[in-house]
Amino acid sequence: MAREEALISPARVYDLTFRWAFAGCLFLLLLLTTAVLASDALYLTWREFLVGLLRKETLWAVELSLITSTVTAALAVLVGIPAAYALSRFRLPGSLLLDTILDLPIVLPPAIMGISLLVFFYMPYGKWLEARGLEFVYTRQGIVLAQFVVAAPFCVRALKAAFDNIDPRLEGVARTLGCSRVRAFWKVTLPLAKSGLIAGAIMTWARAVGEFGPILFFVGTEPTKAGVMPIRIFLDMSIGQVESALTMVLIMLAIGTLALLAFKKLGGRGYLW
Amino acid sequence: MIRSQGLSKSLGEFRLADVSVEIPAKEYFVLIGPTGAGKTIFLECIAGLIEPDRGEIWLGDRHVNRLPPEERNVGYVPQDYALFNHMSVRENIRFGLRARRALPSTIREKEEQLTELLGISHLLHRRPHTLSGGEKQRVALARALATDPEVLLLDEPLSALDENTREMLCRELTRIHEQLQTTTVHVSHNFDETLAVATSVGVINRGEILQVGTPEEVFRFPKDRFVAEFVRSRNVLEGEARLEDGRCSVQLGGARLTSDCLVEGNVYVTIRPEAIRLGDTAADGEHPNVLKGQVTRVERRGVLVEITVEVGVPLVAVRLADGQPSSIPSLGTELYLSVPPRSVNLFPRVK
Repeated sequence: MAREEALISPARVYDLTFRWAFAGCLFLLLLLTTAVLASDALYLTWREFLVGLLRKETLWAVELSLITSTVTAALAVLVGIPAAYALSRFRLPGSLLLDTILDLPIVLPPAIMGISLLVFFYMPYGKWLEARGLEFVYTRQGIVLAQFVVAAPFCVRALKAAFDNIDPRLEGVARTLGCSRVRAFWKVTLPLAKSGLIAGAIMTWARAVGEFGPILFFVGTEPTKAGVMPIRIFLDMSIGQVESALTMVLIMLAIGTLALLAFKKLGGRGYLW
Repeated sequence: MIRSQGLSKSLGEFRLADVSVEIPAKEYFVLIGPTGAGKTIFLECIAGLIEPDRGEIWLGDRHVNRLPPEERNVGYVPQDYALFNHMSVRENIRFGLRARRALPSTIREKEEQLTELLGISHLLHRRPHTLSGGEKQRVALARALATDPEVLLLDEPLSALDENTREMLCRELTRIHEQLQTTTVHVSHNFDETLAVATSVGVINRGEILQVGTPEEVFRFPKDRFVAEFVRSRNVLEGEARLEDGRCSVQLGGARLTSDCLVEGNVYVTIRPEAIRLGDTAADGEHPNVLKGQVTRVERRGVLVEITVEVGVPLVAVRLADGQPSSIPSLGTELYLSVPPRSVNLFPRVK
């Protein structure tokens, strides 16, 4: 009798097959990503990696990347917090259109934003701005602008998710308790959204670090001006300096992994990539 | 005092339609109605969190339509309590006083008074998310009461709690109200709860206030069909009333009853099941409303048994399920129904 119970019923077999088949697809995808990315590390010897890491050009690219993307992320968050709050809380007219415009730079190929920036500064109003000292084309501040046009909308999306998670009633209660709008935002919503906002800021920063297309078109490839890591990798690959390129690839891989881990640890949600 | 005059608001599928009520100072007013009736909108209009489309709101002699919430001096406890999870219970309670820049001595005094009143002194260092539902509710009440609001607004304060906690808090709400005498608007969909706490009741449906009165009035003498059904009158019937030498006689189906209400014409007749006396013999003639009929349905409802007797029209009565054989009569049993004329409630039927 006991033996009969030990037999696996057909329903159980179906159940197991289902689980293995579906989970199998997941593992396949994970394997693909891991295998592809691990190849970068396996290709390099430790020596090549260390030499590549300590090259002047590499360090310079890392520095430029970190500086520009930090400035970009800071600016994006500064504008993004109020913008995301407005998008999350206010009933705005034509919100469908607003949403669509906001998401365009995220959905379009990034290079298109770079090309469009170039065209913008070719137009009379762009020239007018340039004549007043706002020079961006083929400059280092151009890197920040190129990163910003793509990273800022993304930032608003990520920060909005943080505000969406906070019940607007909390602010309502704070106001009945005597807070002005600003104080209620400052004392209640902002602290409650804090980790979500930090998560959003980190992802914005990571996105800025990875920006390539817009910089390529808007700032060019002249290493002293445009030499952020992605551009540098492109240049190195095109002249056959594979080791140096892969070193930076690994650095970016590390940055990406850390950023994602931090994002998930902080409970970040609802972002578009 | 809270007064709304022609208050109207459309908000998606929710609405308020021309709501005019006056809630005298120190009253404990329960606004009762089904889900989606517009109860929360009403509260939020008073609190200033929603701007009405039309109509006026008065708090005492202040016309507050144009005042932002922070200047209205109302205490608001939303349905999910909306405690600030990034602060301790103490900071939650102190929040309003600090926003209003109260003196530290006042803050300490108020905190002590309220935590004692609500029995939450031992929770002060805790974070709200670690509290039970009942504890959260008390903290939310303490926070709302700390600023000595002119009006206390409670949105379904008891609905998310288990039965025992609900009963306990019910008693406590009454006690707090007796002690502080804060004019209170309490939104609810539960009539038992309402009877326990209210000094005055308003029934709302689809954004319209249908009846306002004492709990007793609304419960026993509904003046609207929806209200009658909402307070579970059970016997809501159509009839025709006639006045005959100072008494009102109403014909409903095959039955004729005398009523103390003085109405004529097409009416709704409502009789609370607990007002109907059931007996095996015709009771003495203290009133003419004695009818004989057969039991057509018997249904257990908790501690009560609902018994339907056909007396030319089906009438529902209740008995306590006390274990006596007579408390659950079998179908077809002949019983006498007796209804005092003051319990036969009538109101005109339009169209």
